[in-house]
Amino acid sequence: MSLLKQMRGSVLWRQRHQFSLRILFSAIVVASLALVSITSISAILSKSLVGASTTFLAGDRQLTSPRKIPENWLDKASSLGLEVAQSAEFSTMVSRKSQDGSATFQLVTVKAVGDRYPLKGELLKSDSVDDVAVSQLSGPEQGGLWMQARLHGLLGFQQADKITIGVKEFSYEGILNQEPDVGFQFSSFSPRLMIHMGDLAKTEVVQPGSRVKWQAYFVGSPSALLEYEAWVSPKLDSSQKWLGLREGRPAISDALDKAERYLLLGGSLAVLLAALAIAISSRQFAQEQTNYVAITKALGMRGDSLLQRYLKELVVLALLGVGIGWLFAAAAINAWLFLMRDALPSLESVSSVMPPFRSLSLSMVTALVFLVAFCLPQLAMLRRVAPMRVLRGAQQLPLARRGATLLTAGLGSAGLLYWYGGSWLTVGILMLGLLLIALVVVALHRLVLEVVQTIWVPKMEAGSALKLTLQRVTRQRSESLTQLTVFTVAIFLFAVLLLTRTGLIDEWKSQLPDNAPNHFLINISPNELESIESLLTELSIDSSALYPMARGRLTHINGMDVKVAVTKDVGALNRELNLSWAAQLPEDNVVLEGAWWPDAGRDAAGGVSIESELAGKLNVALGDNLLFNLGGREIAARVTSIRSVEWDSMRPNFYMLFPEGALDSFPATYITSFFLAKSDKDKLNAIAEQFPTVSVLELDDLVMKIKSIVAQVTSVIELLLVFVFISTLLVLMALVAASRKRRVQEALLFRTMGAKAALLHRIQFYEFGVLGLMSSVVALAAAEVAVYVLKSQLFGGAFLLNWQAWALLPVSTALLLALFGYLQTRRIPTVPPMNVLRSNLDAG
Amino acid sequence: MSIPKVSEKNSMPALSVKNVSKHVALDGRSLEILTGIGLEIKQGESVAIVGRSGSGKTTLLGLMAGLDTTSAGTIELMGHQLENLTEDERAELRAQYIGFVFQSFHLLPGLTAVENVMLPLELLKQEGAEEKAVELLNSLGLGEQLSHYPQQLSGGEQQRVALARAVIARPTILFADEPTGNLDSSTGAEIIDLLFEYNDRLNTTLVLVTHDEALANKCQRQVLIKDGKLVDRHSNSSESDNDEAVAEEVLEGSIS
Ligand SMILES: Nc1ncnc2c1ncn2[C@@H]1O[C@H](COP(=O)(O)OP(=O)(O)O)[C@@H](O)[C@H]1O
Ligand SMILES: [Mg+2]
Repeated sequence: MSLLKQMRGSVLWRQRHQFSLRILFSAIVVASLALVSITSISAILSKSLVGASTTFLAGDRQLTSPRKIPENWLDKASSLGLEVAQSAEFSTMVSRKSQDGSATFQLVTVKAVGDRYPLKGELLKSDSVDDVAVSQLSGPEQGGLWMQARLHGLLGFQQADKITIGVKEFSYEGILNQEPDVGFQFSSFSPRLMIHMGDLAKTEVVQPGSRVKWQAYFVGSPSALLEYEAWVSPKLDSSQKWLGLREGRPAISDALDKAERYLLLGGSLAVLLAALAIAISSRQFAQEQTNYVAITKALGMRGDSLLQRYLKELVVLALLGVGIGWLFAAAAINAWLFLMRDALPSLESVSSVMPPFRSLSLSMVTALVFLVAFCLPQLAMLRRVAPMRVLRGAQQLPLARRGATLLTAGLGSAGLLYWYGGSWLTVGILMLGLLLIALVVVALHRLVLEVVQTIWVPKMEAGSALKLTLQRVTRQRSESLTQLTVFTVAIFLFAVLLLTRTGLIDEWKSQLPDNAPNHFLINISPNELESIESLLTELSIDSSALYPMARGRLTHINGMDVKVAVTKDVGALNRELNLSWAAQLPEDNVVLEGAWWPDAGRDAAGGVSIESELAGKLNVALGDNLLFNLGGREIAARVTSIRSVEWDSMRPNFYMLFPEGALDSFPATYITSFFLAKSDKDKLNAIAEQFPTVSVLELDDLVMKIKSIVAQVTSVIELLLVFVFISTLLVLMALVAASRKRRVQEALLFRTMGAKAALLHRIQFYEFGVLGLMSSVVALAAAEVAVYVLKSQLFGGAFLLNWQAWALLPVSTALLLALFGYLQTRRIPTVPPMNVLRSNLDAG
Repeated sequence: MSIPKVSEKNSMPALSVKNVSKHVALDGRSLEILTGIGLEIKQGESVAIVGRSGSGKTTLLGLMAGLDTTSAGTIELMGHQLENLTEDERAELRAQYIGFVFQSFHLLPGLTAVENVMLPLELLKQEGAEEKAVELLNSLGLGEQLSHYPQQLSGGEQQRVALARAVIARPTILFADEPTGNLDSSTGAEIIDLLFEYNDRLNTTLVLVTHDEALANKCQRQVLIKDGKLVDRHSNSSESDNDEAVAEEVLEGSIS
């Protein structure tokens, strides 16, 4: 009861209808909502992304080796508390013997897995072609065998048939639908089957010197993994590899990195915007307290205790707002999870969440710091209110000095940003950057206002609404500048996020369009070209071009043996490279140095174009001479261009490209890629039957997984944008509210002077329109520059003027603001003009 | 629409108030503020409306200026019957005929003195607003303060600017609601002198609400409002018995 009484007696509660107070409260709620949801969602997301990535490894980490992994290495892992699983993969011939005694043979890739495989990710198996695939906890039993569906067709397999690998006969136990750790590897061309590790020796296929890929999988706590990595790394030779999340999965780790940075950036901006709204509305609110304070003081209250009272109540208000924001955030996150669950299977494990406690304390401190930092200078001014004011009628309380407000606000924000986990350097750069932007923005707007006032306005028809508007905008310069600067900064922050978002999502989408190739045909011989093309057409498969491919080794750079010339361990030198030729530059390649064939002039004939990363590793520059060995025959070429290549694009790509015809005398095969829906997968059998020597590479699961991750990241970014948009709106509202009183006064006065209601409406509408247009143009220009810097520093990518944004943003902002201002002030012209006689300017 | 200009014979009254009442709904009851007011003000006349605080002076002023509408009765302003006009038409009438001086000045804080004075001319779409405003302010001794903002002006200076704004469009009728209420007496006196100067020189009709006895006495006529009724009229030119009653009311009013 006493609490209720206290609440009723509170200064703030009594003013709960005050618009500025409502905005202040909403801004606190939104700041907390944004902060809590962004931190929580990014935590969920990165967990789920890490989860998705580890499924590609079938463990948290993976070790691959061409030789059996020493027992004591595995023991060491176990002793550190890590779970360990093993597999071995090799190519061999299998034979099927049917009951009538006939036999068929097929080259396959066999994976023998230990009991605990897979430690992460999904191993899917179904009992027959028509059955649903079911997730398995481990591979086949000893003596059992699973195989890919297309092997059925290739082998002419019947349910009761026996399959023999080496000297051991296996019984068929089902269809292998999905292995977690089959990546984008050109080595796994042939159809796959899976057996138990215990049967490996019994097949007698693996002999000393056989090519086998041994893999060990590890799962455990991050610290144990780190300790083990530190222990094992020095023992690895160049043929053995330690794989973490980022190794070998550029598409995923890239998306993950960018998403994390984007969320961080966006989250901070949303909070910053909400802080701006807090700043404006708290200042406004404090100013509105003048009369109350004057009366209270006249009645004998001391300035200090009054200030204390306000501070105490504001703290309560902040905590309340944060609490409500936290509840909203919990609801928002769970709604997001609910909506995303079907689309994003990797979220299945996360059923419902409570935002982490840390995010609550984070937003509490944030709200308090902002409130106090922005409010205090203005509140302190209240102490100066003379009780005499009661007797002397209204004059507004002077605003706190800009310097004081800027100082406390700056210190508060800097402290918070540091506390969020920045370094003083980044905080300094950010603050300086914002200050610089604000200064540039003020200078720009000042210039524009000056030009409008001296050049444009005098030429306009007297008394027109637009002229009256521009006159007031240019004359009330300091108010206009404040509004313009705040509008601009708010729109700028929003535009930065919008532009980077569009860039990021477009980039991902362009890499992985809906019909991104998810199957490759490899090993097509030149005489099969025509028939395979017609088969693909017959199956209505839309394939990419057929790329020729010759295999060869790079042996010399500028006449020097590569083993001498390149001291680093470059994988590309240890194996045969895929060499190709092309007349046109492939779609997503970009020439970074030198020129593509037609422009390379006379050099073209003996030229070669090299991929930029490999060029970097080999220290090869334009004009260097390379010597290749293709099956015993040599070809020399001079580097005429260096290209960048989108390896994530799922299209065939090559390190070395020769001019058309350069490799005509060498034996070559062709490669192509196409998109095939899950339901069309049996078309592969037709290809396999007709072209037994052509290999099919199935990457549809991998592509699906990557797409799901991209979809998750995209949805979070969209959610983030909604928060930022709400925050931006709040800022605009706060600012409009701050000028409301002045507008009412002005409108009333205009009315006594004979202005009609329509004119007043138009002035309001134009004014916000003009402010919106000016600020969004400047904001967008600034955003383009900032995005360029951000992109080149954080996200990578080239500068592209965003025409769509230019066409849409300024006009829509101007309209939105005009509408918004109009709605906010639409009742002003209908305020009874009598009020002007009664000095009652608040009504309406 | 446009208000047809009624031929401005000087004989036509500037304001003619007939049997006007005003009541407002308050807590479900009807509160009678003014009852049966009748009053005629000639062009060029100066009239003081006096009465104690809360008696309804401001309400009457607002009604005569068309800022509010009557509950009963008619008001004619320069021959136009206000009840028949829409809000916008009344606004247009104000633009043509009326100037205002307020107790609390009501200068726009973001505008300089000269910009404040220019406003009415700009709203009337007149050219040369700035030159006229500068000239007028110069004549009022504010030549040094042309580009000062209201916050930088003293109370008396602010009211002089407000006066300039009220008269720059040459209104036929000038309404002033306690124009000296926020000023000390000597500063107030300056403003009063200026008001009457315009009344004299330009034959502007002056309708003045005031507590100030001296000020009221300067007017050609005084009108007393008591509890929403016009209890008496008093003309300074023809002595009346009610002189003392008026003085008493005015005094009481200034204390309340
Ligand atoms: N809109 C309204 N609602 C209720 N009462 C009003 C309203 N307008 C004026 N009044 C009341 O009418 C009376 C006359 O007010 P006013 O004309 O301002 O008096 P004066 O100017 O003589 O001091 C006062 O008692 C005032 O409270
Ligand atoms: Mg009054």
